[in-house]
Amino acid sequence: MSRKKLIAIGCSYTKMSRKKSLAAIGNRHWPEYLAEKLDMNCVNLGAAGQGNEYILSKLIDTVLSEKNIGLVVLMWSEWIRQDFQDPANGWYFFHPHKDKSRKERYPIDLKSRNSILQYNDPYNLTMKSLRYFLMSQMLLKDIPYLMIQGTSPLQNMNEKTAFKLVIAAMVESKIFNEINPDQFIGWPILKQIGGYTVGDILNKIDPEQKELRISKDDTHPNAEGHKIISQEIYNAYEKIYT
Amino acid sequence: MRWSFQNYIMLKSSRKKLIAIGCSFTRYRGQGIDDIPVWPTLLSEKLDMECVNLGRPGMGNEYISAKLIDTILSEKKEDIGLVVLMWSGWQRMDFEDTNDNWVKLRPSPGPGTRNGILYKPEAFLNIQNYETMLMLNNIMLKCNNAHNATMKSLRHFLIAQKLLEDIPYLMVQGIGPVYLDEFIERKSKHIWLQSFLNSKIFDEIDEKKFIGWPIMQEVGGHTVEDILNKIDPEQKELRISKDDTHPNAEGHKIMAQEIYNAYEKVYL
Repeated sequence: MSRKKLIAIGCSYTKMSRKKSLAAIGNRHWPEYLAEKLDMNCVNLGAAGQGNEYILSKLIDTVLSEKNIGLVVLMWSEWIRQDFQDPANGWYFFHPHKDKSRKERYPIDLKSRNSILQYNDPYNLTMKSLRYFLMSQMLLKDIPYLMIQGTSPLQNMNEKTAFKLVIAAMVESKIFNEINPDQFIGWPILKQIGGYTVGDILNKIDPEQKELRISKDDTHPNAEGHKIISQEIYNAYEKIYT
Repeated sequence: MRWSFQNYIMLKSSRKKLIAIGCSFTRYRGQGIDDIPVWPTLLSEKLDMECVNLGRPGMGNEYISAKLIDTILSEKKEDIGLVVLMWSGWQRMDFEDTNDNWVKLRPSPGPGTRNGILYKPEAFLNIQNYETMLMLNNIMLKCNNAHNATMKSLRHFLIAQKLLEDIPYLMVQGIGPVYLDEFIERKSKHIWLQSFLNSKIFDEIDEKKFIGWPIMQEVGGHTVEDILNKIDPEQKELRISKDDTHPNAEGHKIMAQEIYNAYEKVYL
C-alpha cells in the first residue's frame, strides 16, 4: 500500500518563495520535516503572502481531489490579508495594512489603502477568520487534521483598542466554543486569553530572534526554527492520533 | 376550546421554522414600500411554518454564509423545517461590524462614465474623495473579477451544502450573478464560463436542492430573475417599477410558488 500523504497549507511560514530565504533553510520547511517523522509523502501547498481565503480554498481542493490522506495541517495566516485569483495568473494577495504596492498585482495608494481598512477592520477580520476555522473543521470531520496559527494574526495592530475589540469579538462569538481545542494547537491563539501562535513558540525559546529566524530583516523561521515547528506539530499529532 | 393569545403562542412555537437568507430579493426595504409580502412570508404560510427572514438588502454571499453559520449554531436542528438560501450577486463584498451591522462594498463597472453620467457606486458613498473612490472601485473590481467571484461563490455553495447535510434545505440564485454581457467582452465570458464548469466543486453541488442549477442560462440553468423575466419579459408586471426592478407582490408570489414546488418534489 502506498504511503499516506501529509497535506500542509499555509503562507510563507509553510513555504517561502524568495530564493535567498529558500537557500537559507536548504529548501526544507516544517512540512518536509514532519512528513519524514510521520513516514508520509509531503504535499506542501503553502504560498508566500497568501491569507486564509487561499488556505480554505486549497483545503476544499484537497478534500475533493486527494485520496490516501494521512494528515492535513492548516497553518493559518495573518487575518487581514485578502486573497484573489484569476484564470491566467492564479492566486495573488492584497495586504491593506502594509505598503506593499510594489509587490501587488494592482498597486494601490496609501489613501485608498486606508479606506479599505475602514471595511476590513479588526472586528470583521476576526469574525471572518473564526468562520474559516469552523468551516475547515467541518470539512475535515472525517480526516485526521491539526490547525495552528502561524504568524501573529494581527501584525501591525498593536493598539490596545484593536486587541480589546478582537478578544471581545472572539470570546463572545458563537463560533468560539465550537472550535476543537485538541486539534487547534495553541487555541485560543492570543496570548492575552491563554493561546499562542507559531511565532510565540519560537519567541519563547529565542526571545531576541537571533537563533531561530533567518535574519533581523527576514524574521521567517530558519532551518532550526522549522525543525522546532515540526516537532511541536508532531507532539500534538502523537497525543491525538497514536 | 376557546381561542386565546396563549393558544396562539403555543401553536406558533410548536411550528417548525422556515429560515430564509438572502439579499433584497428576500427582504425588501426601500423607497417607503416596506409592506410587500415577500416570498419567505408567503412560503411559510404554504408550509405552515414560522417565518424567520434573515434577508438583508445589499448584502452578498459572505453575509449569507455567516448567517447560515449563526443559524446552525443557534437553532435546534429539530426546530428547523426548511432553510432556503437565495444567493446574491457574486461580486458583492460584505464586511461585518459590531452589533450585527454589515457594510457593503459593491464594486461596479464604469463609475464616472456610465451613460455619460457621473456615477458614484453606492458602496463608496462614505468615501468623500472622488479620485480615491474611483481608484478603489476599479481595483476591487479587478481583484474581485468574475473568475474570483465565481470560485468564491462555488465555495460558499459547497460549504453551505455541507453545513446543511442533516437539515432540509433549498438554494436558488436570486439576482444575476456577475457583471457580464454589457461589460465583459465575449472572450472573457468564455473564460469565465469555463472556470465555472471546470471547477472541482461544480459536480459536487446537489442539483436537486439547487433550484435552477447550474444557474447560467448558457449552460441550462436559471436564476429567480430569469423565472420572472420568462413570464414578464418587459418587466412591467412582476417588478416594482421601471427604476426599481425588485419583484413586486405578484413577483414574490411566483417566487414562493417556485420554491414550494421544489420543496414538494424533494421533501414530500
